[in-house]
Amino acid sequence: LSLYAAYDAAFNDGNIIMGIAYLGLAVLGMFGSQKSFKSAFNTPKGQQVISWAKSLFFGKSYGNSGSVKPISVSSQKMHQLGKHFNKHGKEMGFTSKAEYDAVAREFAISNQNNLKSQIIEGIWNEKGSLNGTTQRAIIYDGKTVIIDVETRLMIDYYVGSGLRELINTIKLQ
Amino acid sequence: LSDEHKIIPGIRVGKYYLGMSINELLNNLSKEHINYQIQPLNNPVKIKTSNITFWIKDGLIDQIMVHNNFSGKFRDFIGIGSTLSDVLNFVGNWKSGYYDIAPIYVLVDVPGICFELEDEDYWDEKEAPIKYISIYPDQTDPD
Repeated sequence: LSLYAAYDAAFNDGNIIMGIAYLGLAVLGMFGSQKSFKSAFNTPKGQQVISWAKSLFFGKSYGNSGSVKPISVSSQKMHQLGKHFNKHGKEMGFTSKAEYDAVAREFAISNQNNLKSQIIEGIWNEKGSLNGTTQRAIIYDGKTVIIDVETRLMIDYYVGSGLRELINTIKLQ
Repeated sequence: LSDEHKIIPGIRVGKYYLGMSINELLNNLSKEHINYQIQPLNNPVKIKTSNITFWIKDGLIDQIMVHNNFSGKFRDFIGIGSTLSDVLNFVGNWKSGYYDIAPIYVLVDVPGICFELEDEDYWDEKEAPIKYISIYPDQTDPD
C-alpha cells in the first residue's frame, strides 16, 4: 500500500516529498511483511515504483531501462498461430508458420533486454479466453510482440505498435 | 438435448446464468462434486472447471466459456468441435472481431456469444474446430 501511495503521491499528485515518505514506509514494511512486499513488486505499478525508486536513489541516468523482469517466453507455438500467420506473417515476408513463430520468439527474447525497446503491460479488454488477463507488449523498430504474462505464451507479432485491446496500460520501460 | 446443457447467448449455459452470484455458483459446483480452481485476475476472478470457465466481476458471473469435452450446444447444433462453416449453415453469418490480436468470431445477428478456434497444422478458418465458446452480456458485444 505504501508503494502505491508513494507512486500516486509522486506521479499523480506531483508531491515528491510525500512520495519519499511513503517509499520509506514501504521499505520499513518490507522487513515486516516480505511476502506481501514481493507480491506488490510483481504488479505493473510495483515494477514502475521500483524503476522510480532506482531513478531517485541512483540518479536519472539509471532511467527506467533494464529494470523490467524478463518473461521466460513459452516454447509453445504462438496463440492462434494460423490466423496470425495469415494476417501478419505473410505480410511480413515469412513463408511458413514455423519461421514466423521462431522469429517472433527471438524478437521477444532479445528485445526484453534491449534498453531501446518499449515495454508496456495492460489488461486484455476483450471477450473470450483472454478476457481480463495481463499482457505485455514489447515494441521495437516498428514491430510489436505480445506475451501473456501468466502463461508466457506469445499472443501476436506484427508490424506497428497498436495496443487497442489493452486497458489500464502501464509503461514499464 | 436437455436445457441443462444449452448455450444461450447473453443469458446462460445450462443452469449457470450471467449475473449469478459467486456464492450460488460455488454452492452448485460443490453440490455436484465438480472440482474447480479459482484464479485471481486483475479485476475479474476466474473459476475454472474441466470444461466450463466462469469470469466473476463484482461478485457476479460476467462471462461463461465452455471448452474441452463440454457437450452442450448452441441452437442444437453448434458446440465444441463444430466449425465456422457449420455456424454459417445452421445459424448465420459470422465475422471476425474488429480487433484481431487474439481473434474471436462473433455472429452478425446474434449478440452475446463468440467463438475461438483450434490452431491446426493446416489451418483453415472455416474448417478449424471451435475450441472455446463464450457468452457474455449483450451490451458488451465486441465490435
